Amino acid sequence: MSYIEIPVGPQHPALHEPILLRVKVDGEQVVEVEPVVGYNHRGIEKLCEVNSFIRDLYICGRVCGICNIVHATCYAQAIEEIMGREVPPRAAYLRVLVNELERIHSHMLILAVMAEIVGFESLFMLMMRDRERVMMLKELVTGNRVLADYIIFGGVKRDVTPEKAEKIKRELDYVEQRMKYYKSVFEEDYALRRRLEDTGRISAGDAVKYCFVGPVARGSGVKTDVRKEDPYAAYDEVPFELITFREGDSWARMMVRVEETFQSIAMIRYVLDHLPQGEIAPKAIPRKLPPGEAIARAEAPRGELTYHIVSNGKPMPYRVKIRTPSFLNIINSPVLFENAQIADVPVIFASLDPCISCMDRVLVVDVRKGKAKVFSMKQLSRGELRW
Amino acid sequence: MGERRIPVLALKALGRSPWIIHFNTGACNGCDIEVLAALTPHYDPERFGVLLAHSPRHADILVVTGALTKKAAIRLKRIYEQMPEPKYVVAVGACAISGHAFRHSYSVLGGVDKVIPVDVYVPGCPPRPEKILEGILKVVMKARGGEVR
Amino acid sequence: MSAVKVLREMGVEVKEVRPRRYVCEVPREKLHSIVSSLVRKLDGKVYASSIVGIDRPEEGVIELSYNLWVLGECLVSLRVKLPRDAPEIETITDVLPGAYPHELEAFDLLGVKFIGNDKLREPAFKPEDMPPGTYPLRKDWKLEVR
Repeated sequence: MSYIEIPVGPQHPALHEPILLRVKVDGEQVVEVEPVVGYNHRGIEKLCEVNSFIRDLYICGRVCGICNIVHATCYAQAIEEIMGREVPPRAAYLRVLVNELERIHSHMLILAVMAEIVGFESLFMLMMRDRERVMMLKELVTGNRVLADYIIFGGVKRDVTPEKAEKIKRELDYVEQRMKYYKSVFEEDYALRRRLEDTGRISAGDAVKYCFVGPVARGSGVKTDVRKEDPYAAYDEVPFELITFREGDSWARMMVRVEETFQSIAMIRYVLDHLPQGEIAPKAIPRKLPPGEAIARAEAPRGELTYHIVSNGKPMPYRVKIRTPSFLNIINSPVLFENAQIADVPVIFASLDPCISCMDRVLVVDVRKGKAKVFSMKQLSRGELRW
Repeated sequence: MGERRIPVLALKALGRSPWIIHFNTGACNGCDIEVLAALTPHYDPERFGVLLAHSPRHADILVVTGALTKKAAIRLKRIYEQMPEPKYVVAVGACAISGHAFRHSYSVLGGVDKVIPVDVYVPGCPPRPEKILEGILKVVMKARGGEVR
Repeated sequence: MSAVKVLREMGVEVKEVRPRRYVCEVPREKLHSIVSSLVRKLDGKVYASSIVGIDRPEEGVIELSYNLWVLGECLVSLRVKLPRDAPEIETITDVLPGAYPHELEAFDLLGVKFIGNDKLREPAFKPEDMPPGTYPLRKDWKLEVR
């Protein structure tokens, strides 16, 4: 199918709105999708080269607020590997605990956002309300709801007392019960399934070729998870199942997250029941970075996160490369939009678990009409394509 | 973890609900998820009539998060210009206030007050949802000539 | 067939740095055929986890580390050194289309050209006031700490 590209006005509407997607349509049919990059670029890798490796821990912990603990964990791991430093067993288990709490809140967030995209406002509100329990648990363990700077080189900053452990288990019992209900909604609600099924399908082979990671790849049946294939912290000791679905569509990707939430709850229970005795951090925080190199990988809620750090023995690292899961999933997403209708675009995009502030507006260019306009994701999802 | 008491009478006297629009200028999303949380039942913003507007043209209060990246600066200005008077701005989080850890970066200008006037600053990394809601309500009180501490 | 075996059979020297981390130095002209053979011989169970560009002005090179994750196995880092005044290499997006973001970033922030990738453009990530030809991740581009 060929189409003529019609130049759109002198004033590009994209310049006036925060957008992450440019979508070319022919009527309701999507012709091409292009993610807009650079909008969120904060030059962090360069900042890491002019700050000490200790300060960089705090900078890297702020790359992503939703999975900040995973960033801090991964960065610390890379530095610990260069230092030749082991983390005490109790701290390794606590790192698993907080990383899994992060996974639960993050998955609940995108599940709630997806509900809202397809018009299920009440489901969004209910999930967000229940998610508050998890945020409260994060604060109980790390000292803050979102960013706590809980991870330090060689360990973690706070311990979990038996009373806290009991509280965590009680709250997770409640969250688990609620998640069972939400699972049934995602499995049985006719309207929800119809919106999600069959959209953005990709085969397992293509998912690997296009370098999709995390639940996006696992939703197509790819058996990949850093916690299983390349264990870190205490993941080689804490049992869990690698969740995959076969369908490869938006529904499968969301269901992977639903099931992973249950796995995370079970893992936290295991951690609390098997917490090794001992210290949680070295008495003296290491302050020298020897020369060396390390590539650390972690399974963030959105997929594989990797830090490649090169040190030449100076306190400021020579090179810090951060590759977030969304970097791959979002920029490689155009392949998922082939043969989609415009109303599917928000659903497919949300199934990639992009950062929520990017989930707002889309530039739609109708190649036949020669018009361009910015629409909100909600408008597109409801089929409100009014020119 | 107690909530500060906001004189509800002052707000009810406003006579209409403050509609807010939220814009992220390059944040890590930490503040954004707390802004989102502030709009959910646990914090019950609707008792103050706080609602999310559909477009800048219908908004009273612009809630901004993030260290101001150069790419986002033009867009932020544009959104602010599209808002009708009277309009107010709440800068949420350390990054929106000064750029925080990213202020020296080649792609970051600093805090959002580099391009638009800010009425209320809510510090934190990120601030709690209660504080964000309080910041929004302080704008309302400021608008009514009320006391803002 | 393990990835390490496949590589050694191709005549590539593979060094184990630690469990699940292997490093190989490869010449620029061989990189594409090695990646392509790996993907083919391992049944497509390989993806590009990252391509890390490291500026080494004292050596006069820009080093690229192609960090490929082999599903269920290990990370293979193929290290290539490119001359700093003409850092060019064949694209691998014909074999692994998902490597596009990595190549775009290395092009935009370090100035590495990937021959055959016609979707490279600048500025992409870096802000618009950085003209094409400005590469902030190079060591001679100094960040002003205000």
